[in-house]
Amino acid sequence: MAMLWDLFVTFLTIGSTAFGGGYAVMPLITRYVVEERQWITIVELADVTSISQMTPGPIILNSATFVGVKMAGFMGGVVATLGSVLPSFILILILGYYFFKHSDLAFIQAILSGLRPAIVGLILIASLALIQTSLFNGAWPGMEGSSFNVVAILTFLVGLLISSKTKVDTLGIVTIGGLIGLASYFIF
Amino acid sequence: MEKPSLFRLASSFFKINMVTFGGGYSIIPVISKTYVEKWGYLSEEEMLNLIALCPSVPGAMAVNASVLVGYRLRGKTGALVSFIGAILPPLFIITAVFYFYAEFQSNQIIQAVLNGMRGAVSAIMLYATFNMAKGALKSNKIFSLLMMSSIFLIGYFTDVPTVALILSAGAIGFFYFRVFKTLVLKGGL
Repeated sequence: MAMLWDLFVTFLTIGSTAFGGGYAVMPLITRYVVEERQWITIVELADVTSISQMTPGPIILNSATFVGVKMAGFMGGVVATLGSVLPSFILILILGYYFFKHSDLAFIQAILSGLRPAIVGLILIASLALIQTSLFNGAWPGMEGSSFNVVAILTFLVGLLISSKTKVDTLGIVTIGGLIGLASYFIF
Repeated sequence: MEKPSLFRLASSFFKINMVTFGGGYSIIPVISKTYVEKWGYLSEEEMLNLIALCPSVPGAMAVNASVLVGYRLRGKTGALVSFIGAILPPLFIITAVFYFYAEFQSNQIIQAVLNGMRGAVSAIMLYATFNMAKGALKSNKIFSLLMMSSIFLIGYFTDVPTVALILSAGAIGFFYFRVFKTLVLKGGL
């Protein structure tokens, strides 16, 4: 019980301070979970990071689940996850409440007109990073360490084709990608 | 405008969070593809407005964006069911991975399937990102194009923190549209 509470509070602290998303949370986990509590080693944290690159899901939730399950089983995973997302859940509701109420104010509209195109620029960076990791082993062709992941390039092209020509939804396209991956195992 | 059922909110965010690799902003195009392009519950502009709010709070972008879309479409209950839908996939996946850790890392079949899935998700993201760009360029074309490309170039080629980029974009928007265009040019100041 004490462990569950400790997990909850620790991840609540991490969740309240993890601005920026993605890897911005890593120093916080290193400090609170690896150094202070010593729940996982730095090697395990590196493993969680590489698992997060292989599986879907935000890294903060993935690490919360991993640490929680390790320390206190599935319930540990649940409380650590809840702790890590509770601060942002409450804050985003408050922010949303005021935003939906006052979104017609001229100065808010002006700020949003600046933010909208900027956000798309940031999303494009995220898309390219995922392409670089998935298709070229983390480095663009021509750079050191780059290699062609032929199967991922194939599912990428198939995915682009389906996205632009059909109305098949995300889950359908990803399933097709997974099946092509599965087939590649038996062919190569 | 027609509203999605609570079940549709929860199940769609469960599915989206189940398949979205990459973390951070990578989930946004997938949410946009579902809620803007496929179902039309939100316009491109509304979607981008919601996303613009997300970096203001800490935590995972994927969860924040899911909650905000649920909140916008179905109020507090919508926010709650979207929240649950969004956090369950990582909880299940990583719990399973924890118990089958060695197996997971060495199993060639699992790795082959994940490899194929990642390529497909990359394509969905890139395609949806271009649609979002088209949406963002509908209003204030020149301003938006300059803003989008400079944020992309600075963010991609330098180490300027994302928070700084977002704050500057908001500030530039405020000064250009509110102070310069409305007040100075129209003499309202």
